[in-house]
Amino acid sequence: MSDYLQILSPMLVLIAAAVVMLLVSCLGRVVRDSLSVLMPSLALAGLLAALLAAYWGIGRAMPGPFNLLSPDGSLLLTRTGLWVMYLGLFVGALLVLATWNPNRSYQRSGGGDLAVQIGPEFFALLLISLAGLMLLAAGRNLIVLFLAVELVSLPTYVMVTLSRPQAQAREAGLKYFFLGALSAALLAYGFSFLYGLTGSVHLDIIAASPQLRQNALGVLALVLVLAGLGFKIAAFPMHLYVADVYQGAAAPVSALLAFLPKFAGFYGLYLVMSTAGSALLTAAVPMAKVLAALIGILAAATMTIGNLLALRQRNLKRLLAYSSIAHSGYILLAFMALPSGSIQTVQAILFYVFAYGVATLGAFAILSLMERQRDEAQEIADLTGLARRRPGLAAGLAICIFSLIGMPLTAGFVGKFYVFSTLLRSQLLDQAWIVTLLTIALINAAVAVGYYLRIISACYLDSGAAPVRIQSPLAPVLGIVLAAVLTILLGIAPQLLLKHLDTLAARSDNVQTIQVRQEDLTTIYRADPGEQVTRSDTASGHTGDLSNRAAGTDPSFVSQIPTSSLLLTEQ
Amino acid sequence: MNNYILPILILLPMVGGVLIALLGPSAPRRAAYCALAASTLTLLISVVAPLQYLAEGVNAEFQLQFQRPFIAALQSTIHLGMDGIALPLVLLTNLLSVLAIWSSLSAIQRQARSYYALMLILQGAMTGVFVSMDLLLFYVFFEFTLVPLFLLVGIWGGAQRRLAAFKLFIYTMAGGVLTFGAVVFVAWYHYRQTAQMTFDIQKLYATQIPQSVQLWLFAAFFAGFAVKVPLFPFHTWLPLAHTEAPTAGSVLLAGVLLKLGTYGFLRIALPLLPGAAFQAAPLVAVLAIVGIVYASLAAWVQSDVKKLVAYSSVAHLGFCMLGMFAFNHTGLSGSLLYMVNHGISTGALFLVVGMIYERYHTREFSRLGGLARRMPIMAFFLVLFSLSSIGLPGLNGFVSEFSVLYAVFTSARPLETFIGPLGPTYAILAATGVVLSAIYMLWMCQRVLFGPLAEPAVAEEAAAAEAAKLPADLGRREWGLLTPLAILVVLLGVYPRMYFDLTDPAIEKIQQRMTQRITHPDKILTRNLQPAADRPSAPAPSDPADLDTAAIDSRVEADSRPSPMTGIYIVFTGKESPGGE
Repeated sequence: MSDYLQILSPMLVLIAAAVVMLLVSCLGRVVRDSLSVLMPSLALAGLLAALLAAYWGIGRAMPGPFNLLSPDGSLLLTRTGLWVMYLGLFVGALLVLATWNPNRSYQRSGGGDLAVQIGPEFFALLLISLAGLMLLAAGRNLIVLFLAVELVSLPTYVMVTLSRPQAQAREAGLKYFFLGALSAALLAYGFSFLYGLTGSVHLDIIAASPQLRQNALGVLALVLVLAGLGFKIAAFPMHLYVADVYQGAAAPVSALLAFLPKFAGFYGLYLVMSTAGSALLTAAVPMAKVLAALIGILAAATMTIGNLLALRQRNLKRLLAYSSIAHSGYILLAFMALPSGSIQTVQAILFYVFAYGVATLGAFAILSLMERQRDEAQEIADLTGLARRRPGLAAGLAICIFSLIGMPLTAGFVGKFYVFSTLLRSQLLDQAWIVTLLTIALINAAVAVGYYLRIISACYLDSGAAPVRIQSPLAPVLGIVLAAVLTILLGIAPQLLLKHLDTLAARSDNVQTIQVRQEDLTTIYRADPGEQVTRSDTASGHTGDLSNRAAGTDPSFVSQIPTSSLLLTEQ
Repeated sequence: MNNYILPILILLPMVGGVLIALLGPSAPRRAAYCALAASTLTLLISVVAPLQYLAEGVNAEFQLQFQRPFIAALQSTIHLGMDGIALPLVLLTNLLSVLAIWSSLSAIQRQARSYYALMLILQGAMTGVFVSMDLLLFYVFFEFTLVPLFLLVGIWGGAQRRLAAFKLFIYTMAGGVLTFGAVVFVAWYHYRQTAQMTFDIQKLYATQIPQSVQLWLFAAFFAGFAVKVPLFPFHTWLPLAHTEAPTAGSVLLAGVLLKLGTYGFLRIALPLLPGAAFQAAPLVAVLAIVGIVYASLAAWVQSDVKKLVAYSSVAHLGFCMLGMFAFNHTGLSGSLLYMVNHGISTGALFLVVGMIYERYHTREFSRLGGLARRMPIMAFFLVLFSLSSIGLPGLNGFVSEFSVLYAVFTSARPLETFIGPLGPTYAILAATGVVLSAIYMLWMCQRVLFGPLAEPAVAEEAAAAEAAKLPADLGRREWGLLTPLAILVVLLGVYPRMYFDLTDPAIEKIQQRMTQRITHPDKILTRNLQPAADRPSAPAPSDPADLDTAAIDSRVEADSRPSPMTGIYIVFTGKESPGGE
């Protein structure tokens, strides 16, 4: 039980804080309005408490590599998962800072004519969404994975709708919700195939299962998973909603959308691909190559379409939305290094998503400070003259944009470098494929310069000044400064973060721990009679055979699961 | 172990720049003095560096090394070092940066803090390119220089500054990303071969890359470097950028930033991919020659003085590329000297043009004339630097231009087992550029300095008030700016040995690496004397019994008998043979 608590403590802290905040928003108007000033600080306190819970409760308590497995095997927290928590909470705190604008309506939630409505609910929903990420970080089980990904997404639908009074926001929210529901269905469908094939929802057992490797349906399952999570990360055919939703939502919410669901989507995809996906990719199924090629094609299409569509945008939110699609394409390339370079893949994902998240957040935060005719400033032209009016903000924006371009000495460059190096490690496809993918990515990086430069040009080169009101309250400015400094710092000394991510490579998924735990795991799965029935139905007794072997007929089985899953993740 | 001079050379201006941007005085003049102090201090340290370098003895090794991890997982390190090739370029960078900042004193009036901050950041980044011993770090600085340059041109430039800045950034970035791909690919190739990840340039040199892969990689490096140089069809961003950039920006652009491309070829593309470079040499040479002739003709018909100098830059860098691809010692060292000389004389020409512009706010030939009467000191400097640019014997331009042409001419002469890719035809065609440069340069001097006096009045009031503050002829600050460059022009012209002595060992090492590691022997042997196939690359003691070898030796000897030009080479370099030894 204590294991559960330990693994879930950051999530529970966040949920507790969120519940308090939701309760406050249920109180009467007067109380609510007077208390809602405290909401950002409460949210920040909740995030800090969660960070402390993760750091002292888990990170400090277990020096070195560790595997914290919950008794029923559904949760497995490794140092990688812990870093997902750290990075998620940190960016969450930046988000709260960026949203903490005392001039805005969250203290006067009734005002219908205000441009942006960030009420107490916003912060509560943000924490719940982050709680989903905390759960995902420890997920090792399809059900937990599905739950976590949906927990991340559901609050975002509400946030989009509530963030602005305009009909546009409601339209965006609705669109986002329906497509989100569709993607959840696809994800669940894919998971159901995985379960049907292997008779287990546990990722390690799925990965070790011979049924997965011998059956082409496994490929179908993973393609469905890819489609479901592709919605979260805004990958090619599932990217259609992005521009409308980002435009419809208030700038801080768009910043959140650009980071949280993506982070969850990529980490979820990594969890599936590094276990079941890797098993499949190394298997002799002829379709395995198809899966690898599919990811490559999706990556290339995603970045190309994102960049090409961004070129034509005048609306900054839409531009950043399309650029976020392009960045998803780059990150997808990191998956090509699976299964042999799974450590590099996760390092590249974590670093890139973090660098990207911080830079995008900085850009959206600056946008959220600008107001034009009682509405948010959205056009690139609204930035004209920013450098003369607010040189600090303009410099912050320029740093963030240069990071998105991938200029050296910013975090974005290191991220790109890492992703491209990871791509070259790929052994799945021929060298010609890999080099083609790399070239497409490089050309895309050059194309992207075209639209990013227009933003910098509006701030610095164009003469005149746009008729916008620019606020500079303390907290968002602090958030922007933090984002800019972090971007430069990680560009000059990436080791500050990479040094910690490198310890993931030393992670030993300690064979013994897993062996002992795996024993419990197999007992649990065997002990469930209802599941037996399902298995014999769907997988024609294969897994029944599995549990018989685990029961003692084949003593090598207990060690077979961990070693094979180890081989797959650590080759 | 670690020597901190080089990191200081990079960080001092960069940190100084950031500090000036954040806390510096907002009065333009005081901001300028702060920047000048930081920049001059860096220059002084960069002069101390070669003293240390000399104290350790001139050799081919990298000295003043500094190393610490950058991206540890991929074995990229912040590895800095200086050899005979980097040294003159670092000195040039810092000298020109100081002069550029000093020259901005009267020209820059708005947003001065940001301006000087960017100049200092640019100075640090340029030094970083030349002293990087790590391929990734080289690329980091190489590409990063674009950011300050883009803003310098875009904010403080002329009327078309937005277009110029965009063109500059997008052209260079488009080439640069392909170079980035090549950087990652080379390291990965090395990793596949040796199971060791590294970005250390010295270690990467040892990678055995098959010719077909080399050609692709060379094309990728070429994309980035050729745009930066700029080589003929990729040069269109340069004249616009030069015309629109503020004077100091033009000085650094022509003086140092273009050299990043040629330096990239010299340090990376040639020694790393000698086979591909060898195969591509005729093509590169043709592009260079077309560039020389085309840019010279284009310069001839310009109506804007600055544009003329900009086109002359394209022509000069064609010579620079040509020398490098001759694949012999004379060519490489002549090419390196060409980089320095071009930086000095073109940088100085841009300064002089900027001084004229500050007074009359025009650079049109049609509106200027007879200025020698009004500004005799300026006229002296303009003629001096023009002559240096033409390559008048006795001035610096001649030494490098001659070395390059000589090297190209003799490129095809056998050198041990190796025959260079170029030959007399290339040299003769390129030499037309020398004549053309004399035509357009002298024509420019004639139009601007002599003839009837034409002094256009400045139209705008504010600009006229600024211009009225300046003395009629060059003031003390202005000739103070030009004097050090003038001294260098003469010094390098009459005594180039001090330069050759410094750079020779490093150049020789690179040249040996290039010629020994040509991985495409057919190409050489078909052009070589036939039986040379089984000759070892080192000159073996000739066996008198082996008639074939003896015959070849005699033919090689006959081919390498001293020519009249060798005599001149010895005068320049104090060395007997223009070859590898």
